[in-house]
Amino acid sequence: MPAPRLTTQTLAVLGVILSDPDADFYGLELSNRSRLKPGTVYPILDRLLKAKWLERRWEDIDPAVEGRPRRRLYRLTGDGAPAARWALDEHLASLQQAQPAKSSSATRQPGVV
Amino acid sequence: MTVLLAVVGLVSGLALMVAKSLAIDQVRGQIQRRITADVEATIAGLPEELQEEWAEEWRTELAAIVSMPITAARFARGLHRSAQQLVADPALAPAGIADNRPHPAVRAARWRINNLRLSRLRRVAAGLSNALGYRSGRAAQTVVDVLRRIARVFDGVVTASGRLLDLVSTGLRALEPLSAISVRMALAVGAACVQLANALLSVVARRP
Repeated sequence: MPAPRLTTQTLAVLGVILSDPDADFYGLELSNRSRLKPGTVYPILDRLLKAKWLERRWEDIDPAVEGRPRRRLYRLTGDGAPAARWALDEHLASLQQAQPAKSSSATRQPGVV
Repeated sequence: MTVLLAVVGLVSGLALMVAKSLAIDQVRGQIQRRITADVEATIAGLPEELQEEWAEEWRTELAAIVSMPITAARFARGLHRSAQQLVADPALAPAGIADNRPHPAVRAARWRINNLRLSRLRRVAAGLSNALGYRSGRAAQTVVDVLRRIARVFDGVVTASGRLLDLVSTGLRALEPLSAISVRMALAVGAACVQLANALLSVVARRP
């Protein structure tokens, strides 16, 4: 199964899930916590499901007792957790590499070699 | 006298409070129905296999937030965008059926056409018909009948456009090497159909 396309938004969703890798999250919760719109989050979830980085299940509750409908919950798979961690680490490392270069070029005086 | 004034004031205040809460409840109910209808229209516009994957989850999420109109409206708009992306992106096609689905560009054009037919054409025509039908007499009813006939014709045009896109899609699969050019053609046909339907719709909307 090929790895999903890792856009900034995808990494944001993975970041939220990796903040508690053993927890289950529902779609709207991921949207709120990643500060992405639902329109962005659901296609990302679909890609991660198809790449088998995520798995989903219906919440095991009695709606009558809880007073709300059951939710569909997402969590990282055994393969997805390390892959997501690696992808996020790679992204952070590339940002850290870019940061000193950017700051050193920003502090250089114009016209001074 | 003072007691009488106090009683009248109390009763008036209570009546005002009840009327206000009823009005607020009614508006809130209308907004909730409208948002729910939007989400249902979005779901209805999805292909069957995507409906099976997402419809129940989206309905559940909406049910949890429908009492918060702004959040729910934002959610409904987001779902509309999600649906567009899910329909257009070949990578998101459910496993096993990706090969049999039309080209993503064709699916995107069809989505626009279906959406136009479902959420705009019918709603505007029905709204106009109802408004005219309830507010005037026989002359208006004649206009209503004409509008309905025109709407049916538009519906036929849009359906025919969808079938045309199906044919284009079949052609695309047959002419795979030339698909890049064909996709542009399909998109142009789809966009032209949508524009035509929009133009006709605006003519209907302008009628008295």
